Amino acid sequence: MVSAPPELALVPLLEIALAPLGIFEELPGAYDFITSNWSQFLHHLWTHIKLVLVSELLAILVAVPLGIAATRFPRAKPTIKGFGNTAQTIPTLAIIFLMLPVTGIGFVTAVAGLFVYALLPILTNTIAGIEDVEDGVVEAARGMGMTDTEVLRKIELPKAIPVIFAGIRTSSVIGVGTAYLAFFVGGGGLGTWVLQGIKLYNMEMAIAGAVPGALLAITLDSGFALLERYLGGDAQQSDDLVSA
Amino acid sequence: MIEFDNVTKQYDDGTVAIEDISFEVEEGTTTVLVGPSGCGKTTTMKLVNRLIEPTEGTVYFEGTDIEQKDEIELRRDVGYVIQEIGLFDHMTVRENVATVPKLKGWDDDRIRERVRELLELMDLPVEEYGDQHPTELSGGQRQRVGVARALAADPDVMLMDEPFGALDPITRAELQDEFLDIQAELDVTILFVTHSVEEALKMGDRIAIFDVGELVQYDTPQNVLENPKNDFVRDFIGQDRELKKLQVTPVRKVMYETNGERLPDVDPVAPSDTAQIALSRLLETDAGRLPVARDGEVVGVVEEADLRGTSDPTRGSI
Amino acid sequence: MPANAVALVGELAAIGGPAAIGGPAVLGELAAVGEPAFVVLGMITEVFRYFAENQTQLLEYTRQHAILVLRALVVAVPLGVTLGTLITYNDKLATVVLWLAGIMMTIPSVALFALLLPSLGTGSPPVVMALILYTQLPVIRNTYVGLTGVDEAAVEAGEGLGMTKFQRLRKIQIPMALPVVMSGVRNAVVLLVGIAAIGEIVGSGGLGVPIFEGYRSSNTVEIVGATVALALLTLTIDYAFGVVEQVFRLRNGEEIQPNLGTRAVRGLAGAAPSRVSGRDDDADATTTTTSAKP
Repeated sequence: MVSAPPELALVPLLEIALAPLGIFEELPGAYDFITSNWSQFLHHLWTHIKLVLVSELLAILVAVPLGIAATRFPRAKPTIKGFGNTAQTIPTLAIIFLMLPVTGIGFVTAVAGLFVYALLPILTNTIAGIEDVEDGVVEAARGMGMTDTEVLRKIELPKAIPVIFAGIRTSSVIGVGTAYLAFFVGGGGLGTWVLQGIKLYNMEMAIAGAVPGALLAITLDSGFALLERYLGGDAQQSDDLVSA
Repeated sequence: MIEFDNVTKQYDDGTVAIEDISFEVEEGTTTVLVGPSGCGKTTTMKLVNRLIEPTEGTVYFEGTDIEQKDEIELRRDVGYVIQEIGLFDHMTVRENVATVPKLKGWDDDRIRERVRELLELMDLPVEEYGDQHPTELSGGQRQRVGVARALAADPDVMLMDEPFGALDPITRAELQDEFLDIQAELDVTILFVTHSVEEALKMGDRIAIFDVGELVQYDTPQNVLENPKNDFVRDFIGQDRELKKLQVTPVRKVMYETNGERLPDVDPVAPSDTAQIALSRLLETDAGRLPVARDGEVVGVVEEADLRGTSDPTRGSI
Repeated sequence: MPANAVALVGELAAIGGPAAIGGPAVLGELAAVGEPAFVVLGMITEVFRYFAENQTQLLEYTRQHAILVLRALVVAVPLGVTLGTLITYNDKLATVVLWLAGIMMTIPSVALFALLLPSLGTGSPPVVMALILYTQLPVIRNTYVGLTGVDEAAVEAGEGLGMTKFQRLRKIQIPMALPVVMSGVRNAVVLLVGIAAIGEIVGSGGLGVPIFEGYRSSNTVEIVGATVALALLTLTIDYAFGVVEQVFRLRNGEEIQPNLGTRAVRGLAGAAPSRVSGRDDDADATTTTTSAKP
């Protein structure tokens, strides 16, 4: 491992520059593939969306209260955060594969895998959002005679909502990507076409599954960005929207 | 030394920052540009190191139109201190001070010697502070480094843009006093911008008072206080004009020589103290007059009446 | 492929199965009964055995994996830093470039591999290309934020003291921005290691190979073992880049609490770390760490 490996040679620059253009040649074929398999396409797309939607809702229901709990019980915080950070280093692929023995094959397993990975962004943003509320504001609220619950409900949560929302945005966009892997555990979705297309080297099929998912992710991200701006966040894009 | 000749600066958005300004900064003096914010004082100062170029008119530096000079060379010959200090936090104190000498290509020994000398002068011994980063210093220390950095290449002219403006009042007074001492040692012409009349009166040999875009009065502190040119200057100085006059008048100018009379047994003032301190002492002691002593030896007397009036030249000064 | 999954479910119906084969007999039996604590213990024993038996192969996969990421970085970092520097001169360009890089970031990795397949074929090229594209947002943005976030007073002072535009960039802006750029690269690398594992769907090699192999042969131990190796690789790379970032920060005189690696590196370099006083080492307002960002 010490000597310089020959593979380190650069991919030729021209190839790099022109690579994305190859997609356009394939687009008409992919379009034909979609139109001639329309009902199947709708089914895959809808399954894909359902996977994201269900896992995301579950993740919100769990991660937001857990995040709030972490800020209420300072002693639990390192544990919760540590758990979250460790989970981040495990690739989605492994999580989904490892859910198999637990929940069996099918939609539920896929949702469970997506759910685990969707937790972290919402969890960390909930904690950060609540903790970022200025101490002075909280102190002023206490000084006015608000109880802890009132401080949380009237001050901290409203102020944290844009941040929590940003977490949900990151989490959902990652979810659209991760849902491609649902195919491996029989969860369906657009991954069915992409992964089978790759396997069979059927480019029309693979791209027919890839483009709509990419568009779905971009639309979702932009939609959330608009919503976030409306809620008062700064709507910056996250560094790690890609499912890993 | 520096001459502004009918200078006008209009910014791209149409605002006229200064209009038709003419005055001359004399060599070896401290000239303070003072006025409310937005009056054009900083713009005027930045014309000298060409951070801003005039729309009309000419600025002369030692008789040469500065447009003829290379702007980078010019800036390296002119010291520059700003309120935000702008120290390079990623460099050590030593490296900060060495910036301009390095740009000028001085040899290492000379730079090392110069840095040592300057930090000594600023009361920041190089052994202790040289390898620290600016982030480890207090606000006052940071601005001392800022001043040292500006002085490093031995400039003939220093431009100081509200250099002590961000410091707390005590540190500010300290640095002002120190800087007055340093300035007495160095033969350097200073252009100093401030919005504080008190600072202008304290630091300046000459004061240039700006109203929006125009130079209203250019005079010595005493003359500005005694003969404000118009209502703007009068208002700008404030209602405590007489008190400020006391502030800028040293005791030596209002005292008279003692002729062996008996003096009240109170703490004496020094000839270099301000008349304000003398008045304060008089009010405290109820004595009517005060001995003036230098190094423990009584050299004169100062009375309440002397402080009230302007100095009487017939009594002479010591 | 679903057929494989069905087989896998059958195999794993009794989760204790694999543990019973390799682990200490008692543990294995207890695991077979389904006592969760023993299942975990049995699994740990199994994973260690897997590591011992497949050492050479795992190291080879890890090496391939690291090389995939390094090949991408060699192109991506200079490209991103250049773009990030260029856009500091034009606000409109900055908006467009950052927006495009952001869009790139939202494209799912599986989809992007597929999109690059027609022009780059299978194997490592489409994966390296995808990794290069994914590195752009963190690197461009951190370069941009790092350069524009430099204390304006320092830049103005530099100009007033007679530094040319290029000298200001080289002596003030770049050194001050370096730690921020580094932390962008660090964020990117952690991401890349994970994405590269999925690259095996187009045959990129690396640690995705044993993960898929484990999936196909219904070998949970192999999946867990490869995942652990992947996590270790991520942590190692993250730590190494963290050290580089800290060295830059210390050089800039920032007050941080250096970690062990940083102290070792600085110790070797003969630097005196004595004047460094403590503060949270991960605190960095200008960079966006893993999704915990408003």
